[in-house]
Amino acid sequence: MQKYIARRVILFFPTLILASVLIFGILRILPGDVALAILGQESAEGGGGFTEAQIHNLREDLGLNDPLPVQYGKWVWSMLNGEFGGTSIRTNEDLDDIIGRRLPVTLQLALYTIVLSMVIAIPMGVFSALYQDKWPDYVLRITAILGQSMPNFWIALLLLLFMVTIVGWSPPLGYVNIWVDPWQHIQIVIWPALILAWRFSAYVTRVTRSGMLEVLAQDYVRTAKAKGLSQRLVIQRHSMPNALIPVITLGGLEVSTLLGGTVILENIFGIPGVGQGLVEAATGRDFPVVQSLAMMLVFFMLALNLLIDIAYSYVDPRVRYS
Amino acid sequence: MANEPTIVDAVPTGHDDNLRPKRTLAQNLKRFARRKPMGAISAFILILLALTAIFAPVLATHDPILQDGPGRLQAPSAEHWMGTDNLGRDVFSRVIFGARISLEVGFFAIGLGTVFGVSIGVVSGYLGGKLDLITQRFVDVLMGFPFIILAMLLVVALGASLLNVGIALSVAIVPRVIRLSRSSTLTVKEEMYVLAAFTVGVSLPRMVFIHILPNTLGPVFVLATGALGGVIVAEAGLAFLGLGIPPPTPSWGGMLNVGARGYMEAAPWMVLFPGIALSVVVFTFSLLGDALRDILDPRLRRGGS
Repeated sequence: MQKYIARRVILFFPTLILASVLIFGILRILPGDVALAILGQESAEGGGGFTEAQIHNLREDLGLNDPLPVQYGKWVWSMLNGEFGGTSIRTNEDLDDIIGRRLPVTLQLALYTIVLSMVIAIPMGVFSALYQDKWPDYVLRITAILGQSMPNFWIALLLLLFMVTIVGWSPPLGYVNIWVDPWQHIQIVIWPALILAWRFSAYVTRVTRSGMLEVLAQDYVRTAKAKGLSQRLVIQRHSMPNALIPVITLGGLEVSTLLGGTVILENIFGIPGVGQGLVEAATGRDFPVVQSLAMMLVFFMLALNLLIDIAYSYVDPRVRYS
Repeated sequence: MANEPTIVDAVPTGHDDNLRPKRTLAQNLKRFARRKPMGAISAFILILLALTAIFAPVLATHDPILQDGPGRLQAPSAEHWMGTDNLGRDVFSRVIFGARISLEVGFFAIGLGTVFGVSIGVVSGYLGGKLDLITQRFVDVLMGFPFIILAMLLVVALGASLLNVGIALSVAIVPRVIRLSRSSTLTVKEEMYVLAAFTVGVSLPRMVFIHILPNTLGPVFVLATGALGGVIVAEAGLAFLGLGIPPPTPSWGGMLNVGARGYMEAAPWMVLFPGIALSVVVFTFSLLGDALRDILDPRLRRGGS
């Protein structure tokens, strides 16, 4: 098993490097000059022109005068040093501050979502399997399909609309950290977490359900029933552990959808996480910020996938020997 | 449509389908409707949608970008079936024209992504070796990127326009197409007729594009159909974030954008109708994708879910 884990860990690094090359590369395919684009936008907003010297200075500031490999090297080096490639073009804030401020917020949101969906979806999946093709099964499956086909931003808008017009309450506007004011924090964060969890749990429910159906048909489950164990024990001890293995592995794939979802929902609910920062920076053509925030999200996704793979090898002994 | 029988026959069906005489297209459609009513309904809805998009100028009751200051935020009425938005534009006409944008971007992105993905996947799968190894690493990394973030990066880099949003979204689906067509190539590669072609000494391009590629298209076709809904939502998501096709072009995502949110309470119809349109489209595409998958891949016919 150590060998398996070691292989996964070693593979992690080339993947990470490729990802960084990709992000760097995409942001360099801009046809035209980044400095010119930024100055053009600024001067259009400020009403004035700009000089050759300004362009040169900005290019120098952004490090655009270096050849591409040097630029890339500098960026990677600064990330390794924890500086994440300098400062924001628009606000002059240091990138490590931006990331330090935004990243925990997004990771918290992702964590809430995962916990919420496990709590909701695993019992639902088991329930659905036990009542296969009866009405509770249909209700749960339709709910799951709805969660997968309604765009999350639209669900969010409908939810806000519903709360304001019918309940007469809307979530507080200012985001606060959980340590400062837990109650207000929850009032804001619970909604995007629930919406993301709807989709995520749609998926977990489906996998749990088919896992359970498969396990329930096994001989050892029949044996357990035959020797007179209670229904509860058969399900909890004999069926669920085996049914839940696929939930762990395939969950890794859905994590990317989840993080993609945080980008949109953070913007709707005014949650100052990585996603909101990414969109702000993208609209303002703040390239260093876009670059580093995207890298951070991808890094955490890959790391999460690695952890899931490792967890999987503990849970499912069959993996260790393959 | 002409090569559809080939697609169906390419997949081992496990039944004696191959021994039966070839059916005509009409017979095939009838069979599809009988065996997969949900699939047929969704295909029907999508044809309606396509017609809506094509005949948008005829169906729309108003000019979708014509602003009307005094007539803003009107509730649905006989004059404005879905009300008017904060700039007095007719929501119904905008939803109709929005279908156009969604389908244009969706089909363009899927088409482009499929062509690229299949070419790379088939070549990589057939040749194997180092090239394959490197391609697969790239695919792994691209698969790891959240779809919307990859598309966002590309739109930022390329600039927002109809064409660029399409390109961005196509890049986002390419890795999945590569992976799928590569794996079907690995199966097809072992077939006798490929060996036969090899023995006869056909050239590499002929081997890849004439003998192998057409026989890998079945599953790709299913993936592409299922992914269309996802691409349309992603386009709407980008527009929603203000990174999509720039206004005043009417797109469903754009209609739900920040502009609408301020007026949501006063004019709920502004967010209701484009959202319904989006959800219906995504839902029907995934239904159609499922139906096609069940038909083309008999292994999944008895699937637990």
